[in-house]
Amino acid sequence: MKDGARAMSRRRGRFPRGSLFSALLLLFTLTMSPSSAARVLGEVSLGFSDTFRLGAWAPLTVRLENQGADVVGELQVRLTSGNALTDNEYQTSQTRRIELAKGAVKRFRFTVRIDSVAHPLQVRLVTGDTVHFADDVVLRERFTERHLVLALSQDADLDHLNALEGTAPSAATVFAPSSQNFSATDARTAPVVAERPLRWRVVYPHPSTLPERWAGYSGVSTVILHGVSLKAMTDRQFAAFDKWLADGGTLVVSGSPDYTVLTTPRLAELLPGLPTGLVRLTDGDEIGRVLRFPLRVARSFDINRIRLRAVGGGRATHSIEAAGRRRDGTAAESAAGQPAGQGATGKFPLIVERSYGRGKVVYFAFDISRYPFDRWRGMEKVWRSVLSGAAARQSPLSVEIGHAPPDEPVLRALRDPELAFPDHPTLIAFLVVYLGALVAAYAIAADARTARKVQVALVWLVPLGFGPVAYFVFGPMLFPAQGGAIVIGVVEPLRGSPYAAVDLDIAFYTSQRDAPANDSSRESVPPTSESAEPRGPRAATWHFSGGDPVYWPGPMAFGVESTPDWHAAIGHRPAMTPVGARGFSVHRLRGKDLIPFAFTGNVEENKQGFRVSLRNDSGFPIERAWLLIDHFAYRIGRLAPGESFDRELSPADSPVLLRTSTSWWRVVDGVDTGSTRAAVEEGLLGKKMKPFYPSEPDEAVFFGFTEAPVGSRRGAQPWKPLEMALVRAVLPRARDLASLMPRPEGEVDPQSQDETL
Amino acid sequence: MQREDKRGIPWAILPGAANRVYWTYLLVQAVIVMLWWPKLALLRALETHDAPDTLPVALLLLGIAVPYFSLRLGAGELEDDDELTLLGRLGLPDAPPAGALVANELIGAFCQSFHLLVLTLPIVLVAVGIGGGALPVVAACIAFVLPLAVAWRLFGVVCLVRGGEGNPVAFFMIRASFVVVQFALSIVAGPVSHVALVLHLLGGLRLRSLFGVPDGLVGIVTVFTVFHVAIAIGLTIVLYYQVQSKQRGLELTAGASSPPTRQSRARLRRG
Repeated sequence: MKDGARAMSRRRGRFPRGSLFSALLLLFTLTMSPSSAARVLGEVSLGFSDTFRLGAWAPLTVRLENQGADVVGELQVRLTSGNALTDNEYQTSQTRRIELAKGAVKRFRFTVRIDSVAHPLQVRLVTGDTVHFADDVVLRERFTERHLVLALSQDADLDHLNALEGTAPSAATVFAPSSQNFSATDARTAPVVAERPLRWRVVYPHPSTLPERWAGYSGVSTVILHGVSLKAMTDRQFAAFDKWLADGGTLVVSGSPDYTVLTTPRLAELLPGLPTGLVRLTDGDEIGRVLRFPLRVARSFDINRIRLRAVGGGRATHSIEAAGRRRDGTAAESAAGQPAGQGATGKFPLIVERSYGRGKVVYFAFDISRYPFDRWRGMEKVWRSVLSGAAARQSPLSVEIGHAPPDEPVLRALRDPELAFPDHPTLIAFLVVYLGALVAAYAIAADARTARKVQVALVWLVPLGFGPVAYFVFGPMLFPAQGGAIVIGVVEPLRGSPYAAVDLDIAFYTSQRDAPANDSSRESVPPTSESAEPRGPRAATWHFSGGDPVYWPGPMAFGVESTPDWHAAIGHRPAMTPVGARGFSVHRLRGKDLIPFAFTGNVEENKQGFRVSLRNDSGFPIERAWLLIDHFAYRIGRLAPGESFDRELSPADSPVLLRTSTSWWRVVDGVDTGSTRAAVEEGLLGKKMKPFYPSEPDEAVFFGFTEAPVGSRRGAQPWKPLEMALVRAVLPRARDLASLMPRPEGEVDPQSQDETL
Repeated sequence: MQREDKRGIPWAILPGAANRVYWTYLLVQAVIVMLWWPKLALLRALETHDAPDTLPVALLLLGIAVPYFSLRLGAGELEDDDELTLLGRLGLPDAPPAGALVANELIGAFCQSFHLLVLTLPIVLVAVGIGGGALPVVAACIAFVLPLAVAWRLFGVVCLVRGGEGNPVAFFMIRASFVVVQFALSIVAGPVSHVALVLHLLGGLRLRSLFGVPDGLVGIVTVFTVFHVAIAIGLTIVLYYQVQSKQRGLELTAGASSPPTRQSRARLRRG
């Protein structure tokens, strides 16, 4: 018994081998068990309330919830665009490197442009070969071809707008030249749009799903605010909304009995007028007369009393003259701010609006979803008018994928003599000289009187001397183009807003060869946002900085049909890479951006000439600036950031006469004549200024050059980029009629009198 | 005419029939590079991914001309009238031992191959800038030529010692073997074929091999160099035994009546 107990205790005291194995097995099992592995749940929402407009950029939000171990991976969004029938189908993908801690819930936003619903949109979260989350979003069920109307409201029902039908006015009608905004610019650059039926689709997105990039709104024609302010938006959301508005968006704000929401800072700055109170109206005859549809009311109703903004160009498009009473019982106040007197007729703005860049803010003094306007058929007409104007004003983000016109500035840059192979005569001359020198050296060496060492030196001196010469002459000296980027932009300040629209034309090329096909270590791998330089041919990836542009494949020349698949890396090191990047190739991209760029100016014509006031608060220096008035270009020179130009321009300033719309070479100076930059500047002026030559009688056109707002990221890449932008602003040109009018006989011109004195 | 034993580095590079012949090779290479010089505008070439073939062509010419010329030199086809081939030197009264003779041949092979490479370099380097190849790749393609040329040179000497001077069979065999081996290697063992490597590294062609393909440039350089050095060592050993055998035969012939007669030397040169 004792022996048995000892044996038992021995067995207990010893750590059995089987237990160790079991422990290791348990540890392994725990490590590999599903509970400790990544378990990511996700939800993908596309567009606004899962509706997007075909052919426009749309916001894509991916909500991920990690219920497992920490995940570090790459969130990929892949989209097939184009048309397979025309053999122009291409893929674009975006990747973002993300970290999801255990239990974390994060929301990631992308902006995607969808012009084809044939293929689903793929969303993947991957780490290496492991896919943590995958979702294929079927696009057929979510698209609309109608113009999107976003209703930000807590209770308004605007579904009746879905049944509305309108007709888009032609471009000429919509983009009527006006001294109040930059729409004249659009009239000349926008394509003429034939009249077409318009339909709208109203969606009610939650404010948290609103885009954080301006391009996300590109399918939206109008945003209607009802009873809510803009303060619920994050700063990024508001910046995106603000830019979209400046770029041709339309904001419709409904009046409300609770008008305090309209006086919150963000919204108050955009409104054409501020509500200062309520006015109670007892009949709708005057409104019916003004809006041209009878309005019968059975009871009184309130509208906002609006005071127009002193600055910003707010104006009342419809006002009523009616006997109104303020809700506090005192007399109504006219639009001019004068008391109308109790029971007296006052003038009340009913619809006020202001231009904001290319966009417009419309403020209805009445509540669109309350009696009597919620059921009044006259509102149909109002909505049709407002929404049709908004649809036509909407900035088109046309994607032109095709052949490049031969006069493109980018092509001019690519045809730079520096970007050409060394010519045959140079090669022949070199080879003849080399072989001749070799013969001469051998002839001398063959002389028996020549010392043996001299013979050897002579024979080796020639190839050893010509070798480096051959490399440097036909390499860095005559063919330095190893790779480079050409970024040419047109910056167009949006008057009345702190932004400018930027159109980008980009080319980047590499004259390096492909990596060997078997060599897996040099395969072209699209970079992630955080990764180092891509492996593969140099310069096949374009790392950029500045702005928040959207890109689409650019046109190719020489009949090249294929459109490359593109990969966009999002994050701290944004980059664009053609998928399967090949060596010895050029890649073209088009892009658009909206950047903060405050530039103001006006021109006043008087008897002496032109009084010009310009102010550059853009933060960008504007070089070689000119002002085009009629057929003459007046030199402005350099406008540093924060600098103003305020002076009289007259014939004494020796303006340059531009006889034709191709005479821009006369104003391209300050750069080396014959240089690539000069050629590109001339090409850029010829292409982008042609529609503005000569300037209209009521405007002047400012133009100058600045650095490209979106440019190549300066890094270790061995290229010399050519990046520049043309600043083009159409300025209002007022006439000082008093000074221009001929003076009555006997009246003495004070100035001439002074001169006489 | 009394033929002279020209040995050492100066002999390898100084004027002579061989260098005059090689000058015509250079002329041909220069003309071909001119013909292959790009005619397209760069933009068009970039848009159509039509990289100029000048650099691969120049390197292919280098990889053919230098080894072929070395082969002919080794086979004793390009000696001046007053120069002695290895076979001729064997029969000299004061002929050094086999080891010294082979060592001298080896040094000569290396120096002359290097010299030919140097002469061709300027013609190749004009195409490097436009070729778009990475410099290490181009340098490797140039450097590959040296062991290749040495190996072919030794093969030529082996053929010379085996077949004798002016042997029409040897004349045909060395050309046939050059073509066949170059072609066969590029098909079955790409990593050791200069033609295949140039087309792979600069032309993007996939390497074919029955024995696996090394990964990366370093692997390719290693395999190529080891293979050709091994071939050269093998040929050197074969040559050594051939020379030794010849010398023994000569001594046996001369054993009865010393020194070797004019007839015995002539028999030796004929192999």
